[in-house]
Amino acid sequence: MESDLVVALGGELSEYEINLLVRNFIDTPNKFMTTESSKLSGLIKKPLDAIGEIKLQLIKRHIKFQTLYQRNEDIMSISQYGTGIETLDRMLKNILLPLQDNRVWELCGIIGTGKTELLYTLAVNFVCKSKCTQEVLFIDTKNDFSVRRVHDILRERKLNKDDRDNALRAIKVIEVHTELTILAVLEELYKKLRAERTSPNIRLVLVDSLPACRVGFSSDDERWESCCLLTQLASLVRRLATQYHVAFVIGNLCFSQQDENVNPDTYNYGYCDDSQPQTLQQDRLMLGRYWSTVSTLRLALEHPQNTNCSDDDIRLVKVLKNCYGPSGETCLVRITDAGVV
Amino acid sequence: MLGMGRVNRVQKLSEFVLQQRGEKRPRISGLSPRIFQEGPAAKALVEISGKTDTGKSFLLMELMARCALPSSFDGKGCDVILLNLSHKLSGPLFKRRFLDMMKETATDHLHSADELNKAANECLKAIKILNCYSSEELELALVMLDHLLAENEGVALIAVDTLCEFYWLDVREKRMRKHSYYMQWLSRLSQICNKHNVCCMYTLDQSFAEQKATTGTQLAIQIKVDHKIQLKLLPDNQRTLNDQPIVIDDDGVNFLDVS
Repeated sequence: MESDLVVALGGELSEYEINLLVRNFIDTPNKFMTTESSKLSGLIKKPLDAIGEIKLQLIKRHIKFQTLYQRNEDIMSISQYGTGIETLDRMLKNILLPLQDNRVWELCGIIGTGKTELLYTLAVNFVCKSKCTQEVLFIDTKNDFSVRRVHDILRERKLNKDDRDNALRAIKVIEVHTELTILAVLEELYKKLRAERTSPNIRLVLVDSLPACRVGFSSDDERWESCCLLTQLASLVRRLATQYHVAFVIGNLCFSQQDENVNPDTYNYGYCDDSQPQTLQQDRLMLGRYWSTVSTLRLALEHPQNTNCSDDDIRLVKVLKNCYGPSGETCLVRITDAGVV
Repeated sequence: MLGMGRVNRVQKLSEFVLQQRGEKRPRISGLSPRIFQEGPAAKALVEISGKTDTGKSFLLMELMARCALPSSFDGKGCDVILLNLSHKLSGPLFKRRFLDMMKETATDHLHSADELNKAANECLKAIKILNCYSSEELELALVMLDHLLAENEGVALIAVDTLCEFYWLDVREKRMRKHSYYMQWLSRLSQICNKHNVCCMYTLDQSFAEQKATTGTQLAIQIKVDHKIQLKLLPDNQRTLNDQPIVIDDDGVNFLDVS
């Protein structure tokens, strides 16, 4: 909300009235809203009804109010593009959660399971399906985005050079080193979308991966600050997803409970008092309990254990958490030269 | 210019009107006898707490759905206002649940798929959402809520998912215990509920519900919560609601009767 009372109320109140308010320390729209109407009425000599109406107009400009029916209609009209990976799309269709606008998903797995490869594939499949009319924002926190690998995936799909170049142009890669930079990038995207009031060209944001840009914390103050940043990030992601229909797939790391090389106290922040493992899974997630409430679907990428498969390229995708229905579903995918299929 | 005497008279008149409107609101008592016995009464505060993935939002959705469902389908036929802080509850999920509930309770086959679909859409219209992405917006939403309740006597329930979502942002400048923070927001909600004679249900991470020992100077405001619902997910994947085994699936939240 604008902090300037003149900007917010200039249309409804005169300069004299605004000055009166400011002199009484009501100098922001928020203070105006939270001050008793009778006090405001006494100060600027306007009837209570008029004060109520000004407050209402001010709120309506800032808080989106809709019925669930309108929201449902909005959702029905948005694009479903899928992941482009046949077995995965089939599984997601079974749980009524195809990849589409305004999803906030989390992709987790231990190091080396192929999360980055899956994110590359999602990026390529998305831009190819939209014929490069829509873009992907790939936030690379590990600073190892491989243009060559993405190019190879495109070449394996027998695309001609022009189409390959267009696809590469539609994947916007940005290297970030800290959470603050991610916040800045998303804030910029939000400002752009808000200013233009048009459908965003960037419809899918992939983050590879969030824990990589978080440093270990040595003091309580640093942990505290980190929790603030994570909450800020979550709010921004949700705003972009629900207001502007941007979809997010955010990489997260997990580590085995047997892994003694990893000290959970170093990584398992979020709600800092959480040191218990997730109940439904064997591995612990980094980013802690708070972050685990942000996504509506959490997928895990694992090496299959109980299948009779000796192929090193096969991976098991498992639904670890689903806010809207059953979890535990699995499907097998294969890492190939053409990406994950 | 308004004299203070007139302001007081106007306030008293509006309080009287609000009280009358409040008394006309539909009641949601008997919403779920296993959970609330006779309640929840008007003005009641219902806390749904639990750790991550215990089904808090799902239970809230279930209770909201039962409120919005027409009485002909065993619902309460009232309007609900949702303060949406977690942005997880979805229209399609609600619609699916409404359709399932209507099919479960329809005693005859007179309802065609079209009729049920229309009825489900009406239920969706009965749920009004205020989206909030920061506590500043939550403050504004509470003012808006006050206005909406004054205008609409069909609203019997305020739902909040998840009440303390912005804790870490808000305590950046001024540190505060989780329970104290929770009580501050609850105090605001409680005032609105009392003023408009309406019930409020909210979800909350378990860590906010637990009051830790405080020093004398940190005594928090204490607001009486009328119904406390604690959800747990045990290591064997068994779920409990106030220590009674439950199942959460496509059929909603159901108690398991252990003989």
